[in-house]
Amino acid sequence: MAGLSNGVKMINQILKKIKEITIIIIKGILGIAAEIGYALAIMLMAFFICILITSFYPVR
Amino acid sequence: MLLKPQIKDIRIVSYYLGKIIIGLSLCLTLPLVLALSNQEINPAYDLALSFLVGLIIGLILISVFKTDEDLNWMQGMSLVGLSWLVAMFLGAIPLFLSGHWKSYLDACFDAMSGFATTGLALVQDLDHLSVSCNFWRHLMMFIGGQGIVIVALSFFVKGFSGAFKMYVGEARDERILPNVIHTSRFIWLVSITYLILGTTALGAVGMLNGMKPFNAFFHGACVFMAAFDTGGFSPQSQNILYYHSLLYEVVTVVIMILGAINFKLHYHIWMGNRKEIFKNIETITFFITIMIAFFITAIGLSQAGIYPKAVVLFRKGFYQLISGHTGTGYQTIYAAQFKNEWSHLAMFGIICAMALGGAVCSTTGAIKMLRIGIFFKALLEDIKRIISPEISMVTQKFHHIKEIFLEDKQVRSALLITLLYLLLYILGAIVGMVLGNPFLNSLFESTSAAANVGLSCGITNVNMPTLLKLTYIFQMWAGRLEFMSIFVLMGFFVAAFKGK
Repeated sequence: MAGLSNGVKMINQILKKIKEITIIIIKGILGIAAEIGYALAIMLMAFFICILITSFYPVR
Repeated sequence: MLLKPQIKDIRIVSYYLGKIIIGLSLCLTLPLVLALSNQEINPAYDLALSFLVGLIIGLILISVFKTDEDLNWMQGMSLVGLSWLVAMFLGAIPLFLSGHWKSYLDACFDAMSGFATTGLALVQDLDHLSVSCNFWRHLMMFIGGQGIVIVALSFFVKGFSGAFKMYVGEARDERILPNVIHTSRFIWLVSITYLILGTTALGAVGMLNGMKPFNAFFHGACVFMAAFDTGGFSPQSQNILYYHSLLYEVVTVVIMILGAINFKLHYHIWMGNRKEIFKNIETITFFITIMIAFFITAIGLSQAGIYPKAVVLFRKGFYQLISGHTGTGYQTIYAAQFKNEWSHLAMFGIICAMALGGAVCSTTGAIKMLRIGIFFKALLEDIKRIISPEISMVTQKFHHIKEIFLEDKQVRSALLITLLYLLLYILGAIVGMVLGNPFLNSLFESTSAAANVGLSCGITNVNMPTLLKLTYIFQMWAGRLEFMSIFVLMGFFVAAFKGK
């Protein structure tokens, strides 16, 4: 009985650890997505400037 | 009064220098394995010889000068300055032996350009360079981007308090984690994670463009290493223009921007504090300066009338600008196009972007965003002080991971480093002009070298005068280390002769 209880405890600990690691990995993936989003936002804004300038600036 | 360095100082510096040299030599085993697996016999001999030279020198230094003592500030900073010079000499050996560099000085130029993540190159017939030697060029950028000392700290040093002095000497004054060894390991974690993602993305795009799998992923790995570490070396002589792919350009732009972000910010974003990206003084300043510099460049390009369509203006104008601003140096135009086709205003926009750089504690060079942000906050504080009643207490805060009150000490430090960078840009420009180059081109190339960018308008070539090569080497070295460790190293030698 004691062996079974210890086994259950160990499985619980392993599951807890897996949950912690999964949370860290998900946070990391979301973080990477946020950083890539920031880079894409810069590109989008720059493209908007391009449209603005090519529309309004008189090209020689 | 200058104190003459003691034998003890030389012993400690030499001992740790030996460790760093061994660390660098071990890095040479990676291209060596690649050479052997690719059956590149001659490059394998060159790399093996360089590895043995480094290993023997390193072992001699650590056995002759064996010590348990820790580094003090002077020793730590001198060691960093010296390590980068020694790395240049060691890294240049396999390049020179390959026969693709006209002289050992040219090989040293490219080695310093690699380690300092600049990207200016004097290599001859790059398109026929062996795969392993090409890999070594890019690996130098990867090592230099993380910081040569960081490499040693991460893998070859068990932990000592002098580590922080070396860490600061390499122009990284921000600790991400309480322990500097853990900090350097986190820097590697970010870089390796992005290395896997970036190489996969670039490899996939390469294959979509019709490249063979090995070539696509080899190019992907090389381009990633140079883009993330804001270096600028490319496996082909035509640089990124070689790929003729909008998707390739978009992926490299994302990688360049990621490389220009502060590693401390990476840590906080990865730990779940994603809002920091919208609040941090560096990301906000970076966004604003990119837009202003690009606006100037785009107006200049419109004046010249060479890219009348928005998509072309974006592909050509924005790519060179972001490459300059992040300090990467990737080009999708030929060097001669800068001086022959681009207007002066467009070139001025790129020079401004190059001079500013990316975030502190990133792989970029130049003045950096935190300092620019601090200037504007200080200016705001002064304006507020003038318009407020005399008895009122005016304070200014900025957000960098946490709310920080602006102090005079921070403003002074930021101004001092900025002034030194401006002097360095001007120094190279003067040497360029003395040797017969026009002002704007000289300033462009000099800023590119000192800010560790690597964009070139054509001055950097194998036939340029030796004085200019030496000037650019000095600029790359001083610009990468942000002056202090170089001044300390100079002080070390001056004290050796004039000290008491």
